[in-house]
Amino acid sequence: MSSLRHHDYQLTLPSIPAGGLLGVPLKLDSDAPFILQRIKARAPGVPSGAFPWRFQNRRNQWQSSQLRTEAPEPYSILDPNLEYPINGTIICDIGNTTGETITNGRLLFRGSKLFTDGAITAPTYPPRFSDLPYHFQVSVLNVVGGTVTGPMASFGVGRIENQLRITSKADLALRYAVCDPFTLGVEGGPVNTGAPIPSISYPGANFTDVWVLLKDQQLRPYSNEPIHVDDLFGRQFGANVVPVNFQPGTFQPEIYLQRDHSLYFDVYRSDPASMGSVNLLFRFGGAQVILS
Amino acid sequence: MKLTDPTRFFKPQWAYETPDGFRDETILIDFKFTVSGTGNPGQSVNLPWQLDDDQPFILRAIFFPQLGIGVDINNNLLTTPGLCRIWDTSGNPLSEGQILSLGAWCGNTIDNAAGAFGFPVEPDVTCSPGGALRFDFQLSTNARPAQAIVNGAGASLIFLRNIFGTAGNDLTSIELIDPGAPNIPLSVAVVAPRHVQVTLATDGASAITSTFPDVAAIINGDAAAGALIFAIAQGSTTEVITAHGQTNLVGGAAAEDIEVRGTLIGVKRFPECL
Repeated sequence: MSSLRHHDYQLTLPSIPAGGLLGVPLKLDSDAPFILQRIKARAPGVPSGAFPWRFQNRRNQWQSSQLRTEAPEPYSILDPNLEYPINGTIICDIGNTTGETITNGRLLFRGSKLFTDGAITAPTYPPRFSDLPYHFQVSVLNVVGGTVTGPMASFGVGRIENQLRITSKADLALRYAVCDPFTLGVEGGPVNTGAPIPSISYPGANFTDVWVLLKDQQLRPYSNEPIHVDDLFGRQFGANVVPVNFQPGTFQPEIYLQRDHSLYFDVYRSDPASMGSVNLLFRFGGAQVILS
Repeated sequence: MKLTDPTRFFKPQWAYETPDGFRDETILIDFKFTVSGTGNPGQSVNLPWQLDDDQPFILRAIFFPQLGIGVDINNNLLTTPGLCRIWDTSGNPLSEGQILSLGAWCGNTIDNAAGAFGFPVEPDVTCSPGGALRFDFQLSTNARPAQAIVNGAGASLIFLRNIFGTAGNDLTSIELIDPGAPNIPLSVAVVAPRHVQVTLATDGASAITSTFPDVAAIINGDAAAGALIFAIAQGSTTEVITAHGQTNLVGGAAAEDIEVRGTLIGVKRFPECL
């Protein structure tokens, strides 16, 4: 028997020179093998196709003979999945055809860690149960961006250990989440006047770059570094308050949260402080698991 | 690696077959509610929608294109998302309190509400014959703030009273002043009680140099003026603005009820003998 736990690895490249980088290693953790399921590339402001990539499997064979240039949406799915060993390394080639240096290009490797049975606390469904769709909402208010120094420099100002506590009468199998900026307008109350797009009511202020690091009740992270909310979750209001093609980031396997237990999440914002503060509404969706 | 343990992994609802001895028939159920447009809590709760009493209804998706429809300052149609909670026919809430509907019950546009398939309700919800789904809403207000507009050749500046509704019809005013002197910097001042004066910048020849975005920025960035007025510059970013006499912000309007329409998408489950 073994236990799967959702996990993301992200390779952040602070500076990618014109022409690209060859053989960049992404070191994997020492606690469990990694099952790679999906891949996504992120390089804001870079034209589609100008940030190509490829990577190696566990036997140091290239997964594609040439650099891949998929559009950033949706994920590239690996079926069958690829397994990497404990302490493994994913070797990546990164292209850059812009003729200029790319700053903070990222490759996101989504998947699961495969633990031996008993190695981690892994609650799961009871033998018999009923289920209902269910959502929790956690509001993180007045999130301001800005610059910081040190290892979190590319993620901005942090708001640490926000809490989703399962206060309902049953467990929650968390399957996806979505994050949107929103401030409810009330008659007689203030007009929502957020930057960058002036909107008299909806969604109020907006954001471009918000990053989230999920952690379990013991504060063990579900990724090696914060992941952009558009990749980890998804949102309905695009950065310019235009409709976006909503593609929620799903958890595979789902994150099973027991009643009266918590999921924690650190929120970072790297937008300029001049964009002002934003109210972020996180909705965590899945199934309420009711004993029957 | 195959992920096949049925007790541990997500199964999309299409993986569940109709039980033996039953036949599912697709059905769409339209619903409509009148919801308060004030944005205040507790005004639009426990709104029931009665289902047919012949067979169970299996709810699998909601098409919620009008979870409030609003109009922006340019009369462009906007979706106006708000908070929502749905209760099943057994009285179980489907969320912990009211939650922002986007991404939970609906998409942000008609096209993005997942089209003909609606926004998925996953796992599906079995509704008893003759039961009623109940809805709670708290939508953002559609009360309109008072405003004034200054138009240029290719740009405009909209001044919004920074409060929703008729409370903003309080003689708040705006004035753009040509100082008539050289090398004057752009500045803003609030003259009691609610008169916002902007003194426009000039060059060495006393010609005005302030642009529409310059004026918006100095108002929004000033604590006193920004508390009264929110300025939105539109159009050209380089066009120089001209002086404008004192003008009251007017037209603040009370909230109106919002009609929320939608469609429940699912199946009715019949015994095979019917």
